[in-house]
Amino acid sequence: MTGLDAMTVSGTLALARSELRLLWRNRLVAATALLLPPLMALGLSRSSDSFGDGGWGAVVGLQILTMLMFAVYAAATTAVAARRGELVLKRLRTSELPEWAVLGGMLAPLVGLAVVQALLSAAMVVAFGAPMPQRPELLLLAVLGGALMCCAAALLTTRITASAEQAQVTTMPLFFIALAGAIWTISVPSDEVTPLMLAVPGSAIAELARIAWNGGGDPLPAIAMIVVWTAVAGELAKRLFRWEPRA
Amino acid sequence: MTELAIEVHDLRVAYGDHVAVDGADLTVARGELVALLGTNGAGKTTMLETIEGHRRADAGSVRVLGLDPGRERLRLLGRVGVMLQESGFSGELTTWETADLWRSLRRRGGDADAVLERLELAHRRDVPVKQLSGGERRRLDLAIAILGEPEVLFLDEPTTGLDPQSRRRTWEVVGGLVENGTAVLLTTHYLEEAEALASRIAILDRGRIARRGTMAELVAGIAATIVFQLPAGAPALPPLTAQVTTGHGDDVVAETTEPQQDLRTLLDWADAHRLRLARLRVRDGSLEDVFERVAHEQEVAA
Ligand SMILES: Nc1ncnc2c1ncn2[C@@H]1O[C@H](COP(=O)(O)OP(=O)(O)OP(=O)(O)O)[C@@H](O)[C@H]1O
Ligand SMILES: [Mg+2]
Repeated sequence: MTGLDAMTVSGTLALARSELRLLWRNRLVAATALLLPPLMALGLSRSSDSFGDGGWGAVVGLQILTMLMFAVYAAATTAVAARRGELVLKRLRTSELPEWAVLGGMLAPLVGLAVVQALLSAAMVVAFGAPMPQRPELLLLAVLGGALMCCAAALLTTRITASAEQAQVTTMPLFFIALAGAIWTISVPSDEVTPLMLAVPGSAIAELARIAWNGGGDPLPAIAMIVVWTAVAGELAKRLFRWEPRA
Repeated sequence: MTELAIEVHDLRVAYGDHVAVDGADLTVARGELVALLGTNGAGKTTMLETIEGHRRADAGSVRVLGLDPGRERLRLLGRVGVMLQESGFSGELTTWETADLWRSLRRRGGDADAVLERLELAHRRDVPVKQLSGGERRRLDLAIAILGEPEVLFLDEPTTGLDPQSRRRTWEVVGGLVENGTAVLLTTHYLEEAEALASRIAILDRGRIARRGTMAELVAGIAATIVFQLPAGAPALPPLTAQVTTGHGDDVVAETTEPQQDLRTLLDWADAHRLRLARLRVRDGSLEDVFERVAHEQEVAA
């Protein structure tokens, strides 16, 4: 049923390519994507001492989470709601791509862009005087895993998002929960982080990034939380997702 | 015996407690075009989308090329072309980019340029879709539906909003596919479209198939109509087999199953009285009459 063959792969890539083209043609999105990382890096690097013992890792963790929430979570919710409203989703569902591939192809450019932005802003932070990250592979994992979690959450959020404009409102709650959870988490040293802190959706992304940058602490609980939230949101989205505006 | 491409038996689809399709049967053979007619809200789109596998049937069975579109949607999609009543393409992509994207979303993708050429969109190939006219967009939609020459084609009001010339062009293209063996299920509000294309017609009324058959079968038994205007002070009409009523304005409407005989009587009578019958018209029983009858029965039942 969910056959993965050459056509599914090339079709998904073609869809991703055309979505990237659309992103590029939307000047505002393109400009935001290019300007956001340096601006955020600049802003946060000025406050690198205000996060207690978290140091640079805390700055980067918060920065990556904020970026993912903007550039993946909010952007994906908006994009999917818009495509659904335009009936593009309904039309694409008549193509030969499986449903997951339609959504995957549509969201892949956002994930790719987020990875590039994260790498850029990490480089900027270093340029502003931070040391190099201790475990860069974990940093990449935080960005990629976080981006996937944001995609799953976005697909779920589209269920209560009737239009692209509404996405500004419907993405608010998770946006603040995630940021609040992350600030709570990085306000204590990594070895004092409680399971409850990590369980707030999104905070594990910031914590994993902090561990990656600073080098101290056990990354497994944070990784596990990212996986759990991705799976939960993904499974719910699968059940509740709507392909067209009319029920 | 012809092989059936679409078999629908006792289909029922409801939105909440509103039953949109209520026990409909339908078949389409390979190389056949069946037109599904019906007033707004009759359930045509619901029925089509359920057969396409886009909606779940609440009861009844649907088979397309022997597969269940509800369960085996993905296996079916490669062999089926769909044109939705309303659908969307990203406005910022050009016509060609859109067709090319869709070519890569199909296994038997076909040739994007050829299909644009076929629907007379070649000269619009580098224009963003949002700048296309409504009719051009509709043709692009059809171009994408027929990419790769599907075995089964669903067309939901394919020519709505098209100018007469584009409509004929569309008929040619669809007719060509049918000749090559494609099974087509089409909905339309243009009765002449059904007459021109369909080998069989089904009229859907409040979710049920109220009439079905070939064009000849549907209009059989439907009276022909003779319409004319009498000059002032004309004597009483001669005896006709027709049922005579008054129509719009001064029109006299005679509905008859013996148009030839009644017409002769009428003209002989007019000659004898040296009368001139203004605006004389004779019309054979048409699909429109069948449609009106269904609508009338609906009013009576309501
Ligand atoms: N998603 C939906 N939710 C609720 N009701 C619906 C939905 N889609 C259709 N309906 C209702 O079901 C009935 C049949 O609708 P449908 O679109 O199938 O009609 P149709 O024959 O295609 O009409 P038209 O000629 O206007 O396209 C209508 O009364 C419509 O209001
Ligand atoms: Mg309809």
